[in-house]
Amino acid sequence: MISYILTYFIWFLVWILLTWPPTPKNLITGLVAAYLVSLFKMDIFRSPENKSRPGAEKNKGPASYIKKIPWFLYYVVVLLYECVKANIDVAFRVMHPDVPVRPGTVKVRTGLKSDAGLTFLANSVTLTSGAATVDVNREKGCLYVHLLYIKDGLDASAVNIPAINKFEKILENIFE
Amino acid sequence: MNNPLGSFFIVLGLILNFFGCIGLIRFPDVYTRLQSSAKCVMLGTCAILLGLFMFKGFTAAGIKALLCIVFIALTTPVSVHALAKGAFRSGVKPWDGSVADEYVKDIIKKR
Repeated sequence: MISYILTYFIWFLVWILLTWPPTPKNLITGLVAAYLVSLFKMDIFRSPENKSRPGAEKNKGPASYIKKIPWFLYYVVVLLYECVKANIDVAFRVMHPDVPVRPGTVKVRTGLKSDAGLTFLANSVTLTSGAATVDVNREKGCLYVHLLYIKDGLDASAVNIPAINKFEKILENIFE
Repeated sequence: MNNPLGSFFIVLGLILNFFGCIGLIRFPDVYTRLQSSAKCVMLGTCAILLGLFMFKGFTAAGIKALLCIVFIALTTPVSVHALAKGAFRSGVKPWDGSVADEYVKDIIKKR
């Protein structure tokens, strides 16, 4: 039920923002549209394990979502900082006369297991630190990452990148 | 042009997009080019939209610009990931100067 109400309000908020001057006509249409969408997608805030166990939703009250909000804001700040850093790095490589790249795909271990956590980790890796995720292997718990510059003597089958570890620690608190 | 902060963000976005396009030409292969377009073009477009929001304020156009920032930030990495994976699966060779090739070794060779 909590999941249903949360979905409803988020879609209603998106609708208000999309049709910004909130006149009565827009708001009434939004109430109906948000109801229809949340009928189809009411289980969006439940993890796959909880979908199979109907009682599991009870111990995940709204308090657990509120506790995650500061972590999420911290995640956005870190993502922006890393994104700007990666942009300066790419701009330097682009404008350098020799184009100093040593590209290649490497394997990065990860401890995250949930769908949402892995998705966010893969996406934030793509936006930062001269890396782009190519594929995810959930059984082995690793990401295949394409790096722009691989340093000499790096073991390609188990790479440690500080930016990725930082994201992993934050996302563990949000999604696991 | 009486909004200095908005103009600053739009110019910053144009510069970042410019770097992304130069990278598209100068980098050696598909995967490195994808990286330059993912990072620079994504942040550049977001900066341009933020500048637009500062010009327009909380009007219909300004709010839509903010929503577009969220949308672009969510979809750019997904499309880059899909393109890179598709290129690997259809057999596009990485550049000769590549150093490591874990993905080809682990996944492509075993199929």
